[in-house]
Amino acid sequence: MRDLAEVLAGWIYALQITSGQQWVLRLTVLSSGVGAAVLCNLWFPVLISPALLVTALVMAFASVIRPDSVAPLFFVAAVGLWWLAGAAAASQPDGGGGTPGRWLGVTVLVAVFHLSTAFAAAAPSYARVTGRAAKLLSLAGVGYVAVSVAVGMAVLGLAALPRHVLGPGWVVAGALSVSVATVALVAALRPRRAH
Amino acid sequence: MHLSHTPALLRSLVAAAVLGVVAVMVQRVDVVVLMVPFVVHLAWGWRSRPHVDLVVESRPKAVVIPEGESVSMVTHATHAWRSALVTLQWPVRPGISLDPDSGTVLDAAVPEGVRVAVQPERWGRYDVGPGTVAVCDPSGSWRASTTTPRVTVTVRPTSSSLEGGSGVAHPIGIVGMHRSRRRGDGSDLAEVREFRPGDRLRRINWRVTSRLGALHVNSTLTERDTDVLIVADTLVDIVPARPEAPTSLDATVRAIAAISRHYGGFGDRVAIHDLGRRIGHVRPGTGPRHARMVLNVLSRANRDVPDWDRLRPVGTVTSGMLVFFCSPLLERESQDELVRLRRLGAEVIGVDTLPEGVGQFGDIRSFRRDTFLGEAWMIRRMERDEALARLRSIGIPVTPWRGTSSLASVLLSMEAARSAPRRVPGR
Repeated sequence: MRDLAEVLAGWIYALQITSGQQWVLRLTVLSSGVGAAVLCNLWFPVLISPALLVTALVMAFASVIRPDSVAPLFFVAAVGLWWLAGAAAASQPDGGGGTPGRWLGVTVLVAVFHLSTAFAAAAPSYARVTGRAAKLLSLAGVGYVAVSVAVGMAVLGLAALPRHVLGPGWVVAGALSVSVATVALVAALRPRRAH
Repeated sequence: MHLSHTPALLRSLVAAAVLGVVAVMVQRVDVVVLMVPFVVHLAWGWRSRPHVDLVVESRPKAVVIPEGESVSMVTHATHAWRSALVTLQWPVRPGISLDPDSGTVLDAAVPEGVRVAVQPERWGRYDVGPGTVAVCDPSGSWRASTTTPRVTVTVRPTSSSLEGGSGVAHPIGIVGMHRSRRRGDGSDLAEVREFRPGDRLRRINWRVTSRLGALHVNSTLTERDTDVLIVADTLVDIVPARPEAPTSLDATVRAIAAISRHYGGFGDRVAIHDLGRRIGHVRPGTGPRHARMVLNVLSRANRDVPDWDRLRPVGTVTSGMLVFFCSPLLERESQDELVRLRRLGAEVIGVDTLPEGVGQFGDIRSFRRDTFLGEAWMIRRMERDEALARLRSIGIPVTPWRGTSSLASVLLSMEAARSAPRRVPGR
């Protein structure tokens, strides 16, 4: 109990000494996380929606305080589970649970959450962010979200093609690309030591 | 430099792999759409993966600055990613102000480097660091971190010159800037008198000569230098209740800096004798090099020496030597040493370095009520004030150090006393 109190006190102190620029960054994390959770709750209702909503909100708050922890991963896991369970009807041609616009809306928020968490983890909460760094972060964030939206729309465009045009080929291509990318990245993730 | 991937890249990898497998298995386009941000981030991270070794350099390694100024700790990250982010973090420690206050800044990697300003609050020698530098690629996927070496910042005490005259009553040198009472070659007019054999012709005062009809010359006073000894009583460092207030050692160091600069400007030989061990001795010397050496010695003064080490008395003192005795004058041994120097023939001035509030009535609140330390300090101060009154009664001026104007009245009165009529003993 005492440990928990110390942890909470540490979190509160970390919030107290957070610099103004870091507040903006972390509010971006919080708003995008809460936005994604709320939109999932509205657009992809499932039986366990309340539990997923609570989990996602708690993880979003935890991501604000500790962006370099596993909390953002759990948030993504909660949203992914929600998506898998609730957006199933949306993938059916006659389904009314979701539309490509809704998918892109949630995807954009997840993208913003993901990158802003990565940026927030780059420095302690009490770090002063210079104007140059803020400009760099903003440009990188806008570019990343724009590319994600463009690729998402391309995927939707490809999916809108008649099934006989692509056939099962996209499944094979997707599986191959995911496998190759995973193997290559795992090899690249080995820690390296420089001088 | 340790290079590693970030949790964000790991998150992208896990999410993309899991969602990709699920998308392929259940053949759902919507899952592919959710997977897109993570795949894009993975691709970005893959493109940003480091190919060359990062090098981080931090400057300066050691620096000497005057009191009140700040120094910029600059860190350069070379061979970093294009548009990399640099997080520089210097540890916060008492006695040092940082800009920004947290000592931590997130900046873009630019050729001019990332800066954190360090400003020590008072004179002394400070070991700053080690700092931490983390370089991150613009996608937040890779991170390289290292520590910078410690930086030694030496802060010289402020050395404003004293206000007031020289206070030298009996110059003991041969040449210098103090006006002596002896007649000879100089610039200050002593009198106009009749010509005597041996007088220089250029000294003839033609206006008086033509008026009186006999040759008259200007007689001048010689100018000489003197020996100045500054005695530092560093046996005890009296620390006031407020931590930011100057201690007795602070006052001593600042007084020595001002006095040595003042008399160094006159060309006098200035020496320092430390009764304790916090500052150390400085041999007599003159000139700008000697002044710099004095400041360097003062800036290396050690606050951490235990109090009340054995008193090291002053050795030889020349008659007429000007002695400044910088001391809180709390201990009997210090007061005795002051009187002994006076009896050896030195012109002694006591500089009281006891912090202003110590032992005053208002200082009682600074201590716990049940310890009665406040009352004890008051009694000690009253005893000291009585001792100071005795010192003044035997002709030793004692003045509290309150900045560069502290000694002005004493020095002016000593100069005035030089030309005052004297009673010759035995007549």
